[in-house]
Amino acid sequence: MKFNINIDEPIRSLDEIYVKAQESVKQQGPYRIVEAVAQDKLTLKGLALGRKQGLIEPILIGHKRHINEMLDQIGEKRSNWKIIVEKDHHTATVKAVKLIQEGKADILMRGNLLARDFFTALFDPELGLRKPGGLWTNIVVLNVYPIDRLLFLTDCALVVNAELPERLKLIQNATEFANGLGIKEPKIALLAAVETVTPGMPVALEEAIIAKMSERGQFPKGVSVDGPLSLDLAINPHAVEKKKMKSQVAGQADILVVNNIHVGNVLFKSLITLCGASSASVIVGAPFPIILTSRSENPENILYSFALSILMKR
Amino acid sequence: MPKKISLPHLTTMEAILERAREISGSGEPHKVAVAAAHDDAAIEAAVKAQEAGIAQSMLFGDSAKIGALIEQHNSRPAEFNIIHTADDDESAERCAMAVAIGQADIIMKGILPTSKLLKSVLRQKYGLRRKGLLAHTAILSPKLYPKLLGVTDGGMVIKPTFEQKIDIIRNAVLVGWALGIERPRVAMLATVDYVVQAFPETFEAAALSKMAQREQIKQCYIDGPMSFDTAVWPQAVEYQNIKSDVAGNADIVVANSIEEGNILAKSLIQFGGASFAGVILGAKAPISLVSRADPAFNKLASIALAVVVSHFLKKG
Repeated sequence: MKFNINIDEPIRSLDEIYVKAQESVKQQGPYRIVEAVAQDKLTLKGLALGRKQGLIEPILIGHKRHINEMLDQIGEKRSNWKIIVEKDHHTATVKAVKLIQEGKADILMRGNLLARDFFTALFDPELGLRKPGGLWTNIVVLNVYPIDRLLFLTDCALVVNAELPERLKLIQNATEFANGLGIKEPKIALLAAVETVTPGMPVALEEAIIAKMSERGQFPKGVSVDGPLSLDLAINPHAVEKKKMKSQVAGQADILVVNNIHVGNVLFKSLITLCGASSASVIVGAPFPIILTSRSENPENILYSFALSILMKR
Repeated sequence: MPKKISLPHLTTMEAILERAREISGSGEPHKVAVAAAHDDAAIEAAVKAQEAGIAQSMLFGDSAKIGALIEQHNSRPAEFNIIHTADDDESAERCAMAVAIGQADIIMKGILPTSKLLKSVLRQKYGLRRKGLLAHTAILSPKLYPKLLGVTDGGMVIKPTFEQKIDIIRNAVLVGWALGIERPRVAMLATVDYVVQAFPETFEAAALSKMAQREQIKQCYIDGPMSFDTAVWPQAVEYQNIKSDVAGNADIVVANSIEEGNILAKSLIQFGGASFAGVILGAKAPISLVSRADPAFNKLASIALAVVVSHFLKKG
């Protein structure tokens, strides 16, 4: 999924993304978000908030009685919500996709089902969503003090083990995504526990290979990739200075690429729960934006994910 | 190990420093043997620890360079025990020997490869080796967490097996006891909170939880698989409706790879306002590594942690 707009100046914050999404909605009206298995209180709160802000128009697919009970609990009027009844999780997800394919909705959102079940339904060959050679990846967009720009983190939710071929895809998807937000020459850090290459650490070895590919100009022009880099060396210029490290990326990374879902997930959750970060999160590589919220996000973070999806879609 | 821990529960980094000062101030001060001590980071740590009354040091290495570095840190070489050694190997060996014969209590790495130091420390003749492997525990103080949080292993074991995880847990739990936690709460990290076939580490986490319940791993609570937010964030626990002795209240989180542990610890330092102290356990004396990039406070905290752990190993 590429951005259909041209943003020249790099976007530096989630609030800017939000403002841009609001502008877009003013011209084109709210975007239709369909939630599969919508009996989920947190995302319903997010959808209610998004509609109140005029960003989105929700469509819910799921267990009607459970949805209605939750709407009552969060003080929402049942009759204000469009609900399509479907108790089965798999069928609910397929129906949500079909709505988008028929042009009746714009953006897909996961409700109360396991990520694994959600993607199993989406990868149903009958839906024809997955193109050969393409990889769907998860990108989290973060604002976290003291970084004064957007940080992109991939992959926290979808790609279980990112070995060399998957890492290249993660880099490609994240680069295109950052480009779409006006970051034309993103600096990409391949995260590891160390910054030295040792045979005992396969992760560091692979990262060294990819860094060399970047040196040889095997990535699109303007893209710099370096690794292995520890997190402090990736984002903290003082640490880079102390270690006297020479790197085009170190200390100023825009995109952080991790080697497996566990590392991505624990880093993301650490930033959200104990580091006061704000985030938006989407799946890219699919024909339409897919929102996969985490339960550790608050409804405000979900709004940022709506805004991001709107920019991707417009 | 004692069944009843009657030590004060240390919940801040400052409390660890204070406790180390108390230990070294009442009786013989703890001594740090530094291998290849002609290293700015190590000397800074040694000087600070001595000034703060946290520990004294024995500095093995190039005596001329060591003296110059001590002066750079505004102290006097005469106040330190400097032992000249010809090369890294000699300094590592003499450092291990000093601990073996009871002249020093803690081992610290200066400017030599970690592997070289560990090889000397683990030599049979010194008798410093214990059953089980060496593992690293980081103690962190994130501003948004009401107590200290241990992260292991982000420094030594690259991809722990099931057996190695048991050793890693035992080492970290020992640090927990030394910090005055009677039954440390240990979370086995995963991406999800339930057992799924796609993620083998969730099997290991489940089995380890059961082993703690059966007292095969003693005097701690272990629960997992558990995602990081479930481990440390009461809101997530409420949302998930999980019943657990650990969830939302972990003292220690156990990672599945060195990348996971290291990046988690660094995120809490870089973004969560956490100070950091690290210690390697598994030998008879705690081993301390400080890095050039560590702020002075963290270097001091690492030595203080080693003093607290060393005292616990000796006195309980």
